[in-house]
Amino acid sequence: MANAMVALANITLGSTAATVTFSSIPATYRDLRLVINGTVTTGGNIFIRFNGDSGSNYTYVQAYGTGSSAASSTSSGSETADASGVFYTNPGMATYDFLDYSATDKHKSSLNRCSVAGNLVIMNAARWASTSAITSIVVSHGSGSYTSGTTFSLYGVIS
Amino acid sequence: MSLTKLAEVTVGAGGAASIDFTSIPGTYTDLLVVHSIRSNQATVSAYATLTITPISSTYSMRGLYGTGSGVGSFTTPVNYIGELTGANATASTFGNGQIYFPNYAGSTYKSYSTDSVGESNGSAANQSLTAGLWSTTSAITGISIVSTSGTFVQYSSATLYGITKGSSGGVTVS
Amino acid sequence: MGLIPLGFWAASGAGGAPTSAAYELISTTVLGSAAASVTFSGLGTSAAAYKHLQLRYVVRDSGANIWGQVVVRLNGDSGANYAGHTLRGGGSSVTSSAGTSTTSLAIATGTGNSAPSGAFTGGIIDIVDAMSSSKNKVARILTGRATSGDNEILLQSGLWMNTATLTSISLAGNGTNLLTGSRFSLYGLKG
Repeated sequence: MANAMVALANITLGSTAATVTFSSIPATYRDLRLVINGTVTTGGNIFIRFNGDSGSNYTYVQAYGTGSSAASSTSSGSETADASGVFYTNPGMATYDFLDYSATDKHKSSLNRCSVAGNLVIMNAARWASTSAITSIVVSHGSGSYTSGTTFSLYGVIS
Repeated sequence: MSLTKLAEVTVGAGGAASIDFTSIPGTYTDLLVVHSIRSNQATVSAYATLTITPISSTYSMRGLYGTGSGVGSFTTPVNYIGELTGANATASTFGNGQIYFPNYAGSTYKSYSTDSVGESNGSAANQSLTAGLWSTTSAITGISIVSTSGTFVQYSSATLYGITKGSSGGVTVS
Repeated sequence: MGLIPLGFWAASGAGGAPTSAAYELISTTVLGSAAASVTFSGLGTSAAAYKHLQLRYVVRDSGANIWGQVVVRLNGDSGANYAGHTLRGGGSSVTSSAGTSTTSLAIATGTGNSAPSGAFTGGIIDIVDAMSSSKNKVARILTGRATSGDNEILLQSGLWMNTATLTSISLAGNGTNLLTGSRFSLYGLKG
């Protein structure tokens, strides 16, 4: 029986980059999993945009720990990108599970864990209000750029 | 093949103060540890800490937790890695958790992420998420899950997986 | 903290040669019409080769709310043989809650039929050592709903107080139907 998790694409930045783009994502799988590991030049939100959609079609809710307090926040479709992760100048990692990404009968749900030991630990749920299959993912940052050595790995989950 | 089982440990009848994975090869991209552990510590909720080899120091952590009634955030112990059940939890009940190490064999500091829960048929049981950092540029060659009080009981287990990045299906990245 | 010398108090990782293809699909159900429940059965056979199980899902139910609920039961047990705990972020605060002697492993959050059209809730359920006959079954669930209002993110745990070999997992609406497009996929991880 085949491994249900298939490596699709990956990149290790050789220099600072403002964005990373995964494109030509086939509809072959059921879910996608994105793993990011590294740092940014200035702390702030990870932005994820699907299929080039820059409209107010993203919503997220998160719970996070600062080290001294637990808190929660949410957006309500006013974002122009899924901003459900935060990266800092301290090393961190983020994992995103994009569920049913290739379905054309539903909006796209995602679950995210973001872990930066020097700053925050976060769990997120997000929704892209589109029934289009995800064919591209652009990862950018709200305040800075991803530094050299930061890695981005995309996997498909078979179903 | 992107997910490979590397090793599995199940604690025997004598119990164990730690579960150790040693001689981890550097041929994968990420590591995943899945654990199910119960301690003989006289408490409902217990926890474990992490020791990474080759160097047993320089950890930092930030966590978010719930207890079944209260919540909070914490930064110590710095090598905290997750919830277990203790001897006062419902019998035959073990914790449930995972630890993810991206780029474990690389030459930068090592971030890791943990999600774990304990359980018991009572009002109190812990859930936690943590962000961890091993501030060492060495590759990870060993991982130990260590009891903080008492020992891990029989049937406690942990499984180590290697995850390999790659390219297929025509997906491009830039 | 130093390592305990091997062979005395430590349990060391071995297990022979690496096992590739360690994460495999067992079964998927995508609802083509509304249904009261979805059941993965015959796990004593279909899941016998695995040590851990993972269930991935997206769900919408027929309830007249933005929020929905998914009731999870094991081996068809609907008795008061479960417990569960929740860490929840509701968008403005974080809370934790408990349920004891409950009649289901978990009531995971879902999306009801008053949510925006097309909105579903996703979740991932991990049952570690699912096939052990020495342990009660403990699930860890990461799930969340991000609609335009009534959003929540949860880390949940569930306990089934039974060491029996797992034979089935059922997911059902809580007095509602699971709607078309809801999808449930069961995976096994080898040990």
